[in-house]
Amino acid sequence: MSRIYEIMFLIDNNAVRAGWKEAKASVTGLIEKHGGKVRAARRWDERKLAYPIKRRRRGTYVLVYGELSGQGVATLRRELDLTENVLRYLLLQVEAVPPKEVELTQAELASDFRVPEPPPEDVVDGAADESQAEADEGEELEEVAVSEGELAEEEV
Amino acid sequence: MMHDRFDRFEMPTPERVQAKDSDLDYKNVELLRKCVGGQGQMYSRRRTAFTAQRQRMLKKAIKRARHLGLLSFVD
Repeated sequence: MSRIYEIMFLIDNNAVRAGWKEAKASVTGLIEKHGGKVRAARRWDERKLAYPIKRRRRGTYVLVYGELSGQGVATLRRELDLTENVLRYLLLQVEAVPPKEVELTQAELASDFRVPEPPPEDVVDGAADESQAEADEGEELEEVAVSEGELAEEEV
Repeated sequence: MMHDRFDRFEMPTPERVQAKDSDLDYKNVELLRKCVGGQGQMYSRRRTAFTAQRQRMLKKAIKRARHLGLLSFVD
C-alpha cells in the first residue's frame, strides 16, 4: 500500500548551478528508483540558511509530493542520507497533494521558466572569511597612510 | 470571575500572534519568526496566547523549520 508524502529537499547550490533540470531529476529520480510515483515537484525557494550546513551558507529548496510504499520510504531515507547533494530533507505523510502544487509544477515545466542563478555567497566558510578579513585590513592600512601623509604636508 | 494559571501574573505586553491552524506549517517561515525571540527561542503560550493544541502545532513547525535550516536553533 502506498501513501502520499510531502518531501522537502535542501539541495546544494553547486548542483543547481550545474543544471536545474538535472538537480531536480536527481531527487525525483531517487523517489522513482525506490518504487515511488512523483505527483508534483517544484523549486520552493533559494535562500540563505539560518546556520551553515556542510559549510554551505545558502541552499535551494525543492518541494516534492509523491506516492511511496512503506518499504520504499525506508530505502529512500537510507539512500538520501548518503547523497551528498541533498543537505537536508524532511519527509512527511500528507492526506492529499494540494492542487496548487500540481499547478506550480506545471508552471515550472513551461518552456519560459528560468531558474535564477543562485547567488555566489556560499563559498567554503574559512576561505571566505580569511579573504574578507585581509581585504578589510588592507583598506585600513591605506587610510592610515593617507592621513599621515596629509599631516606631514601640513607641517611642512 | 474565572481564574486560571495565566492570570497569576500580569501579562507583560502580550504579543498575540494571529494565525489559522493551517498556517502553522514549517513552510510559513514569516509567521514562525514572530513566535520566536531574538535568540531563536520559542515563545511561551503566555506570550503567543495559543491554545495548548496550537502551541503543539507551533512546536512541531518550528522544529521542522530548524532542521531544514529555515530557522536558527540559537543565534
